[in-house]
Parts: sequence; C-alpha cells; structure tokens
Amino acid sequence: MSQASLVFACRPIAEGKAEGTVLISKDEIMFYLCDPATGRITEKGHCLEGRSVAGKILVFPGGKGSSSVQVDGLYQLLSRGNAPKAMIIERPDTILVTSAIIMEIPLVDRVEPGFYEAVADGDLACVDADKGKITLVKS
Amino acid sequence: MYLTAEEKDMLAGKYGKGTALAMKVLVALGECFDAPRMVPVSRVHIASSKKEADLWFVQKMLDAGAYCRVASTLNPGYNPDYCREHLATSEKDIELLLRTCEAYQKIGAIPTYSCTPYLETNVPRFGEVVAFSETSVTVYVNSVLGARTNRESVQSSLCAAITGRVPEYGFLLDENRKGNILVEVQADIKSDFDYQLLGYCAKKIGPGVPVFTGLPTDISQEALINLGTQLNTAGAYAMFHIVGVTPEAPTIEEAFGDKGPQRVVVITEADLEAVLEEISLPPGKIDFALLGCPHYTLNQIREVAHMVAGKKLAVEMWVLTSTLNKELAARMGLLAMIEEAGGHVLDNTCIDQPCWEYLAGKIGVTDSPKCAYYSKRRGPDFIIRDLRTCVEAALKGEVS
Repeated sequence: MSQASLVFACRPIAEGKAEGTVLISKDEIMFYLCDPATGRITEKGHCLEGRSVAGKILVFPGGKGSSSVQVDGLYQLLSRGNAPKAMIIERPDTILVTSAIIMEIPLVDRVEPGFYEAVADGDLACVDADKGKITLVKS
Repeated sequence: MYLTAEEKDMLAGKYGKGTALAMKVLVALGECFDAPRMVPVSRVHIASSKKEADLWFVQKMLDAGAYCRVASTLNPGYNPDYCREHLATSEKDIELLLRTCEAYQKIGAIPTYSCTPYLETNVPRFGEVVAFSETSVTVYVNSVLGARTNRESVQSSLCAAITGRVPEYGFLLDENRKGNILVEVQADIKSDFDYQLLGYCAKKIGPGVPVFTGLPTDISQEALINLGTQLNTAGAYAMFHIVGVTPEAPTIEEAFGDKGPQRVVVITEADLEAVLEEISLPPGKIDFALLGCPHYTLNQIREVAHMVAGKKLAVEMWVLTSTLNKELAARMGLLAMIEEAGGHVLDNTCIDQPCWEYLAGKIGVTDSPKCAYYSKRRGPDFIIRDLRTCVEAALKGEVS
C-alpha cells in the first residue's frame, strides 16, 4: 500500500485474510434482507437500503433476526459470490460467529480505539484475522 | 478454554469427523465469548429452515458421520402434500424440503416441525441448560420458563445436539441474565396484539435485556410469545423481564441485580401507533389472511373457529399450528368449523417458505409483524391487525 496507511489491532473470530473497499452501516444487518443476485440491502428504512454488501469490508454493529434466515441470507450471497469479503463488528452474536466460521468469511471485533473515528466509506481496508490486524488506507 | 478429556477426544476426532467439526465450531464460539469451559445440554431445538444453507450444513455433518447425542426437536418447513396440491409449490422446492427432512431424520432429530416446542414437546424446566435456536423459542424459554440458552444459530444448535455440549457463556451465566434497560410502558396495553407492537419498539428500546414495568400482571401466554417474538424480529434479544410476571423478575431489584438500569426508555401510545403505521399497509381490500406466526396456540385456534363458525370466508385463510394442536382442534370440532367456512389449518408449516411465493403481488392480513417482515422477501405485502380484525377481514375481504 503506497499511501499512508493506518494499522489497528483487533480480535480475530473467524480466520482468514481479505482486502476490499469499506462499507459502514450504523444499523444492525440482516443478510436475509439482501438481494442475493446483487448483494443490495432491501430492508425498508435500513441506513444502507439499496447499497450492496458484495465484496465489501463490512463495518457494522452486529447481526439481527432469526438464526435460520440470517445464515441462509449469508449463504445465498456467498454462493453467488456476493458476500462481504470480511466483517468488522462491535457486538458478536452466536449466529453471525457460527456463520462466519463455517462459511470461512474473516470476522473480527474489539478493534482498537481510533478505528471508528478514522474509517469512512470507500476507504481501502485489509483485514488480517490470522494476525489480528486491520490496515486502512484513506480514500 | 478448559476441555475435559472426552471433549478433547471429540475435538481430536476419536468420535468421528462430524463430532470433531461440531466441537471445533463450539470451541471457536467459546473462545470468542470467553467461555471458561463446556457444559452439558439436556435439550436442543434446531430452527431448521429447510433452506439451502440448512441442507448444506446438516448434510456436511451427516457425510462426516455425525449423529445427535441429544435428540433435537425441529422447526417447521411446510406440508408437502397440501402445498403441492393447493399452493402450486414447485417440485424443485419440495425436493429440497424432503432432502433436508431426510438428512435431519438420519442425524437423529425428532421431526416435530413446530416453532412452539416450549409449549408441548420440548419444555425445559427452570434453570435447565439447553441449546435452543429460533426467534420466538430462545427468548421464550429464557424469559418465561427461566431455562438457560444462548441465542443459538441453526448450526450451533446442531453442533450442541451432536456433542451434547455448549460453551458456558452469555445467558447461561447469572450475571448476564440481569436486566439493563428499564422500559416504562405508559401506553395502555389492552390486548395480545399490543404486545406485538411493544416488541416491535425494539429500535427505541435498544440492545440489552429489557425490564418492562407498567404492564398488566394477568398476561396471557400468547402475549408473552408475541412480545418475545417481535423483540427478536425487530432487534436481537435473548431475554426480557416483566416485573411480577416472569420468573427471574419477582421484584424490580431482582430483575436488575446490583447494577441497576443503564438506560430508561418510555413507551407511549404514540410509539405503538408509529410502529403500526411504519410496518402495516393502510386499510383496504385483502386477498388472503395468514395467521400462526409463531404457530397458533389452541386458544387462538378456538377464537378463530368460533368467529367463522357457520359463516363463509371471502378470501383464503390459513391458520398455521403444530400437529398436536391440529389434532386436538379436530377432536374439539374446531377444525371442522374452520374448514366448513372455507379456511385451512396447516401443520408442519412456516410462513417463511417457498410455498407462499405464489402470493407475490397480493395483499394479505396478518396479526404478526414477524410474518409480514419475513414474507415480504417472497412478494406479498401485509396489513397488520389484531386476530379478531384479521378474521373479520377474511370474512369481508377487506380491512375497514
């Protein structure tokens, strides 16, 4: 990464490493209310309604909703190549954690202070859940 | 985390690859939530959805030689014979359903196909450690029965059934079961339906364990089901307390423990009205009525039956319930009342299944915000009202 980059420590939950563009949600996310074909969030009134999670480094508070639909939502996205590349969360829940482990999507939490002030939509981020660090390049 | 010799053997593959994978998932969960050890579970409910992800994982476990140590109850899919004949369900969808059911049968689950196991077939006692998944189930067994479960996923509960273990964290521990949000209900809560709207105020209530005050103390079982279901649809909740009603909240002090509330939220009549306005279509003509999300209790079936007895429904009406309730409704003569009016009582069936896709573009009426929330993905839209208004609408063909 040629531009000045910021590095933040985090706690790995589901192993793996991924790089991509950051998309931030202030609302919890229910992956079932995403269009599997495009990755777009379809939930009415959601702060990311109409935006696509496909291939993104998704920064959000946590998951919500019924377990069976949450996991299937993520599976449908994954099987069409439209899942997020990695997930950075604040509140892990059992459903999201199991889904990430069995679907092998890197998932981290407990990012060190400063990350949330620094990060913005469109930044480039590399999540290394094996080493427990996030590298951020401002757009 | 600490593992016993047997748990280490499970992880190392001495009980087969399937058990090893199940233990790997549980250990990862335990590490994530800082669990000190595993604890045995005596009951499991799997919110098997019969969706592709569901089959994918259970088949993966089955192929790896897994079998349930604890026989788990299962969530509904849909009734294939009825849906093939009446709802134009595709053979492709039915094949996915049947393959999933077969995989769960082979892995040793109990094919109850009900989303209210806590009422009849899988009822934990106070303090019992269990692994229950599903929107309404988890919150009901924690809050109303005082059993202990985390908000398990389909997959983590299957892993618990296979190993007979869960990591000890979250809602298995005393300190996490205490309330941290005081919800002062100033709205006048009169009917079971008002609890649906109260639960749907989750955005205003915010994350945590709410302790409700200001509610009547003679709350029906159905109202308690409604409150938990909608809280967990509009947000992510494992537990709530109602002071003087639920078993771990005999007093407000005991509900909160030493720490007291972190936040106070007031719910007024205007909040409930705003929720209904946001989630329901305005009144008008309807094409169908869909009731029983979660599965209707015998009391609810009885109320529907007596309202339609001797009359004819103007639109299709489905009442979803458990096999036991359908059988009892038949014995009580209630099933005949509903069927003679032109309605259907369906067991083994959930609202969030492909059999309902043929309703795309149509307008229904339901008493469950959860039903409306999940069905929208399949095409139909809903007017949301209380049970009696729904049934009156089904008789007239419109909500006035």
